[in-house]
Formats: sequence, C-alpha cells, structure tokens
Amino acid sequence: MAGILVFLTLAVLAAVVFAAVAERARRRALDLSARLAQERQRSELLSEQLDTARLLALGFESIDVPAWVEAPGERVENAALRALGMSGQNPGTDHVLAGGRTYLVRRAQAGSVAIAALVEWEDRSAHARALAAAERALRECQLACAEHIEPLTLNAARERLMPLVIGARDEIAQARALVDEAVGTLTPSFLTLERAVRAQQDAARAVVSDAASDGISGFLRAAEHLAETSARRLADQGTNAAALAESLMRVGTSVDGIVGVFAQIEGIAQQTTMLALNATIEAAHAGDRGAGFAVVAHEVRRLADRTTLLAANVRDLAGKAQTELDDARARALKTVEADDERIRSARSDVDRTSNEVGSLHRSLVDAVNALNDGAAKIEHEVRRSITALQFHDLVEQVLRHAADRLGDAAADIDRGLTRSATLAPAGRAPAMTSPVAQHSLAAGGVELF
Amino acid sequence: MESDPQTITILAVDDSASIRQMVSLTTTGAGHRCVTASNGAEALVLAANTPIDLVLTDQNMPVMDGLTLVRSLRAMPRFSDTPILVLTTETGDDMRARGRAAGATGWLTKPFDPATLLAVIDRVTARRVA
Repeated sequence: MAGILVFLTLAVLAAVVFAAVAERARRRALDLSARLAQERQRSELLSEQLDTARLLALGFESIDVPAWVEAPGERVENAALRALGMSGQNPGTDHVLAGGRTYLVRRAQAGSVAIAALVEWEDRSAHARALAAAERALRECQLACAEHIEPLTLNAARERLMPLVIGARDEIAQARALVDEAVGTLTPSFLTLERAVRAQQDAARAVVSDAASDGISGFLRAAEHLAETSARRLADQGTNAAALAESLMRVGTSVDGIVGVFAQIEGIAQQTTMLALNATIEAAHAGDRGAGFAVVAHEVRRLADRTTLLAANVRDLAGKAQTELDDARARALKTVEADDERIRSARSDVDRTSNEVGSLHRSLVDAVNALNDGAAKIEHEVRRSITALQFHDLVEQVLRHAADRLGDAAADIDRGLTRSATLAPAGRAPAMTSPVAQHSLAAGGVELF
Repeated sequence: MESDPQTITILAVDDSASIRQMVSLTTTGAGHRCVTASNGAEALVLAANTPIDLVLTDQNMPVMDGLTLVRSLRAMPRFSDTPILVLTTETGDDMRARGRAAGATGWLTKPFDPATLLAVIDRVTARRVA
C-alpha cells in the first residue's frame, strides 16, 4: 500500500514537472511566433518602403505618374519594375533599394538562426510544432524576400547581360562582314589562279601533244631521208668519177700502146731510110742501069722520112694526150675523195641535227611534264585553300549560336522579372546543341540518300 | 544557239555571301550556270521563275531554313525529281534523317572540296538522267 502511495506521489510530481516544462516550451514557442510575426510586420514595412522607393524612382524619372496614382496593382508594379530597370541612373534611389534588400536578407537570416536555436532547445513534440511553425514563418519570410530581392538581382543581371548580348551580336555581324569581304576577294583570286594554271597546262600539253610529236618525228624522218638521198647521189657521183678515172687510165694505157707502135714504125722508117740510102749507093755503082732503081730508092727514102716525121708527130700528140688523161684521172680521183668527204660530213651533220632536235624535243617534254606536275600541285593547293576559306562560315555559325544562347539567358531573366519564370517559357526552347560539330577544316563528308 | 547537254543550272542557297560566291565560281568554272539566293524564301521565288536542274542549299538560314525549302520544293510537281543537296555544317544523325524525310537527295558537310562537290553534282545529275 505504501509502495502504491509512493508511486502515485512520484507520478503526480512527474506530471507537474512535465506540465511545467510543456508550459515553458509553449510560452517560448508563443514568444518565437510573436517574434516571427514581428519580423513579418517589419518585412511588410520594408516592402512598403521599397514600394515607396519605387514610386520615388518613378517620380524621379517622370514616367507616367498619373497611371500609377490612379491604377494601383499590376500596372504600378510594372511601372515600378520599369523604373527599377533604370537603376544606375539615379544613385539615390539605388541606394535606398540596395539598403532595403540588405535589410530583408538580414531578417531572413535572423529568422533561420532563431528556428535553429529552438530546435536544439525544445523537446520532440514542441520541436515538431515549432519546426512546422518556423518553417512556415521562414517560407513566408523567404517569399517576402524573394518578392523584392529576386527582381532586383535579375534586373541587375539583365542590365549587365543585355549590353553584352547586343554587343556580341554587333561584333559578330561586324566580324562576319569583314571576313566575308576578305574571303570574297580571296576566292576569285584563287580560282583565277587555278584557271590560269590550267590554261598554261593545256598550252604546254598542246606543245608535246601526239600531233606535235608526230610533226617533229616526221621532220626528223624527212631530214634523214633527204640526207640519205643526197649521200646516195654523192656516192653515185663518186662511183662514176672513179669509173671515169679507171677508164681514163685504160685509155692512157692504150695511148701508151699506140705510142709504142708508132715508135716501132719510126724504127722501121729509119731502117727503111738506111736501106734506101744503101740502094741509092748501089744504084750509083750500077751506072745507067741503076738509074731507075735510084729513083725508086729516092722515093722510098722520102717515104721513110715522111713516115718518121709522121710517127714523131703522132708520138708528140700521144704524149700530150697522155698528160691530159693523167690530169683528168687525177681530177676524177680527187672528185671521188671529195665526194666521200662530203658524204661523211653530210651524214654527220644530219645525225647531229637529228640528235639535237630529238634532245630538244625530249627537253621540251620534260619541261612540260614538270609544268604539269607544278600545275597539278597548284590546283591541289587551290582546292585546299577554297576548302580552308570556308572556316569563316563555321566560325560565324559557332559565334551566332553563342550569341543566341546569351540571348536565351537574357530572355529567361526577362521572364523572371515579369514573375513568370516558373511558368512554361514561351516560344522556342533554347538551342543547346551547336550547329557546328567540326573541330578541323578537313573537307566534310558526302552522303547520298 | 544550242546549249551544251552537260551544262545545268544550279540554284545555290546560303546566307553567307562568300559561300554563295565559292559555290558559284566552282560550278560556273566547270561550265554550269549558277543562280543564288540568301535564304529559303528567296530561293522559292527564284525557283518559281527560273528553270532549275539542281538545288544546293544550306540548312541554318534566316527567314526560311533549308529543310523547309526542301519540303516546299518537293510539294511542287516541277521539283518532284530534281536533285536537292543540303550543304551544311550540321552533322548529326537526327538532322540527316530529317533531311532524308524532307526529300533531300544528299547531305554534304561543310567545308566542301570543290572537286568533290562537282563530282557529286555530276553523279546525281547522271543518276537522274539514267
């Protein structure tokens, strides 16, 4: 029985203590709630101060004052936002707005600190209730802060970003115009160069074309034929001259034979003269009987003298003829030798000329081939240059895409300023994938569907 | 005067003036005729008034892009079997598939090599004749 009384007494005491603790927690929660409410009131007061500051800004800027006086609500809010968009032009207004923003932030931070302290101190049930109340208070405070701070922050960001976007677009357009002009000048130059080289190549090919080669070969064949014909004619003349010399030699031999015959005739005539002389002497010895014989002997002697004289004349003439024949034969032999020399010289000249023409033709072919190789290299390089010159189109598209992304960011900020950032964005979704995937200037691929 | 049977008229569409110039000089150098437009809408006006044998268009252009132009041309009976090549910086498979679906004949990625471009033009033109 005594044990039961002790237990009940302890239970009552525990209940009293628990109730006291709970009451203390309740009072503290109420106190905190009152402090949060006070903070809300101060936030609202600050909000009003901000509105006042906006109105002041409007007044400073003289922007449609009757409109915001007569039409509160959204129109005033929009007018205030337009005025805020002009911050930077009125340092006094900006100072007020910045001060209000700082104050709101500090109040929100103070609320968070207070809630954290309560969580550490209170028991679980009080903690749960206080936490819920504190969260609500904090959320209200954050909303109050966001309502005023976010537009300020976004507006400042937009003010910084929009000139960048506009400037970037202007600079890209300027760069594009400059590069377009430069490339527009370079492209025809390259292509004109390529066409000039191609024309030069065609002209060079014509020089060593089959037709031209055939012409040169024909010329060489004709020259060789002409030289051969001339040589043959000279050779024929030489042969004829040699034959003539031989004939002359044979004639000379015959003349020598004739001279020998006449020498014998002359000897016979001399012997006949001697016989006639002896006959004359014998006729004188015979007296009158030998007178007739003496006449015959005299006639025979006279005939022998004439024969001797005739033979001597013939021998003189034959000697002269022999001399002439020797001269003619010598000249014929000289002619043969000179013809041989001329033939050799003519053949040598033709061979040399043919070699020179052939060498010249080969040099020409080599030069034209070298020209063709050079032209092919220039053509290749021009093609590469044309491909490389398209870099500006790729770069321009990359830059334009970057500017579009900046523009999208600016549009997002604008939407945030009009408090519709949480709604689905109007218009197209921002393009996040660049239209240019190339990382080099190698020629692109081809796909035929 | 009788025209060369190998000479065709090409419509080159690109918002870049220098790319238009490069395509024009490359094709006219090969003996073709070339008319140019700076976007899809201009190209449609030209196509309505000029006999065109082949179209070479960029994809990303202001006013009207390349694939819209391809679809618009394919809707015209006169261009039902005209070769239409897309010459663009776009390389994605999705874009190529859209090009094929729109009715493009082929997809050429920039930068182009002049000799390759002429070879492709000859090939698709011959394919059409065959």
